[in-house]
Order: sequence, then C-alpha cells, then structure tokens
Amino acid sequence: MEAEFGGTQYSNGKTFKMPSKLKDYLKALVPMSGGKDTPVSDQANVEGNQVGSWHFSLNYKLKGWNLRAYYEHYFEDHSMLVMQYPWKDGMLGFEITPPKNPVVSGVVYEYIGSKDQSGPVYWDHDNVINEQISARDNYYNHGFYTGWQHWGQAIGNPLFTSPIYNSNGQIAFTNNRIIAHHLGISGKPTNEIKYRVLLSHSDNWGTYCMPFKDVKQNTSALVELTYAPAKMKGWSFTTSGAMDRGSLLGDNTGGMITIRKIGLLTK
Amino acid sequence: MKKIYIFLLILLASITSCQKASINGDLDGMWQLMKIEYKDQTFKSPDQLYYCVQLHMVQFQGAAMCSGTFSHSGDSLRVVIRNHKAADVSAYGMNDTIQSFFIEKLSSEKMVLHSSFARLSFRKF
Repeated sequence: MEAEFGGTQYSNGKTFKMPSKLKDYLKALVPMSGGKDTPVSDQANVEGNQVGSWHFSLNYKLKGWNLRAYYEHYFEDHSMLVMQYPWKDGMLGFEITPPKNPVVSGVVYEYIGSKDQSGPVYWDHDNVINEQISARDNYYNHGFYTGWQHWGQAIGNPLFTSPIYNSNGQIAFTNNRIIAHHLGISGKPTNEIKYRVLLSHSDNWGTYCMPFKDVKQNTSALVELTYAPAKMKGWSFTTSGAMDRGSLLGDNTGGMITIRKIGLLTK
Repeated sequence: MKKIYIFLLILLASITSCQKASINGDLDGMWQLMKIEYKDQTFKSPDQLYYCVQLHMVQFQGAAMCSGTFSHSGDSLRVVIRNHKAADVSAYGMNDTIQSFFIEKLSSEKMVLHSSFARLSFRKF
C-alpha cells in the first residue's frame, strides 16, 4: 500500500495544511481515520490518499524455459481491498523467458481493465433510499490531493491519461476507465546487439463523472535497437522510434538516439 | 501443489462471497442513452445522457442528476425516481418519475426499453 499525506492544499485562494505529526506518519503506514485537523472526508474514511494493490504470481520452470503468470488488483478504498465488491478490474500478465537463443529472449503480454471501479453508482444511504453503494472509485483521483501523479505524470500506470496532457490546466485524471492490451518482445541476436519491440492498444471511456462521448482508441508502438561494441567496454548506442495513433492522444511520431557510458568516462 | 489449490480455493471463495456482488446480470453498468423514439414518430439523439444501474439503484446522469430504485423481473423493468419531478426526468425519455418498461432487448452491449411514452435505445458505456 502507498499513501499521500501531509502537505498543504492551495485552492481558490485558500490554504489548508494537513497535519504531519508522528501519528500522521503512522497513519500513512496503518490507515486510520483522520483527526479533527483533517478534512471531514478523511475523518469519515482514512487520513490521506491511500491506495494499494494485491499481487499474485505463479512461476513455472521447464527445461530452460521460465513461465510466469501474474495478476494484480488495484484498489483505492476499503471495499475493494477486502472484496466487498466483485473484482472485475485488474491486470493479468504472462511472461515467457525461453532458453538462450539468438531470436527472442523474452515475451510479455498484459491485459488491464479498469472500467468497473466497483460499479457506476455512488450513494450514501438516507431516509429516502436505504442503500449504501460505495462505487465509482475514480482511480488515481482524490478529493483533497491532486491524485496519484507527480508533476502531471501518472505514477505506475502510463495508460491512464496523465494530467499533463490536459489542455485546460486541470490537475486531474480525465481518463481512468480503460481496457488495454500490451505486448513486449525483446531479443539479443548477438553479444553486441539487442532489440526491444513494444506494442500497446487501449480503449478509453473517460471517467464515470466525465465520460467521453465515444470510446477513444490509442495504439502506441516502440522499436528499439541497441549496439554495444565489445571493443568499447561500457559504451552502448541506442536508436529508437515510437508512435501513437488514435483518437485519445492524436497521431504522434518520435525518435531518440541514446549514447550511454557505464563507468568512468576516462576508463 | 496442495497449497496452491488451497490458496486458489480460498481466493475463489472470497471472490464469490462478495457482499455487494452483481445481482442484475447484463442490466448492471453504465448505459448511454443513444436514441429516444416518441409515440408521435419523432425522435431525439441525446447528448451524453446515462442510466447507471447497480444493486437496487438507478442513477440518471447528464441532465438533472436523479437517483431512484428499480425492480426487474423477466422482461419488465419498473423505475422509481425519488425526490424529483416529472420535468426532471423528461430528458431521459420518461414522462413520470415512476415508469414501467418492457425490455425489448438486453445484452452485455445493447439495451432497448419500451414504455407507453417512448422507446429508448442504449449502449453499454
């Protein structure tokens, strides 16, 4: 589990300083409700922005092959931590590491779904409708903090559209309901040359509160080739090309050349 | 190996024992209202109006935010919107806060509801 806590909120000309005493550090480690010096929502729930994920992994080794299947379940609140609601969201991955060969050294496939978020309804029971539904988890966003991001970039999941892409300056995730597939292949044809090919495709629905009018697609690809000459110990040269295609991020194409030296430059 | 099976059984049992498990089958979820066909042969293509269905509740989103309950049995659906007037729900293809629908079609992707007032076509969103 991870937490954002403490700090100062600047909103509409007002400031609100969150407590950061020793007990608040402890509450970041063991989630507990906030004191009177925290926002009302933190007093009713837990102090700070607490998120976490369950990780399950299964490895199987067979005659030089290594096969791994894994499942990760992300949660933003207590109800999804303890399976109070069905676990419809999650990431499922398969990783294959074949015996040493000149063609492929590793293959990974990942599926991620975050459309459900406990469900589409949020309702605190009252005298009119006596039902409690704590859904619409709104992944990566938070009512007090600016969400699970750093300098506008999503932490952990690059497929939720990062706030830095918002054209209106809003610091919030505008797209966290997605279904995506990712395929990665790497290889080392010779001792001096290695390559990497990555391909991702996502369907994107926006958020429950601000859904897109239509589902937006995005396909991203990266091809990367690295040359590390044996004569030049510690040096490597990488060239890569990448592109985005689709209605989510638009059509973008880019390239990069990397010259890397490991160790001291003088040796 | 036994430990793995025990773990998987516990996991399966935990997942299937959700206190708030889905109870409405394909009806559960966020539905985008695509078309309203009125009895007088006129129709509307709404701009981002949604029915959200979960457990015993339905919430309307896009125009006036309305919340209510529903009952679903076979191919009939009865929606009861609370604390709102008929005018608030008219954008959503209803002419009263209590409306009975015939479910013409329901799948994981599409839904068509029919009332005495209008025929509503949805897609799962």
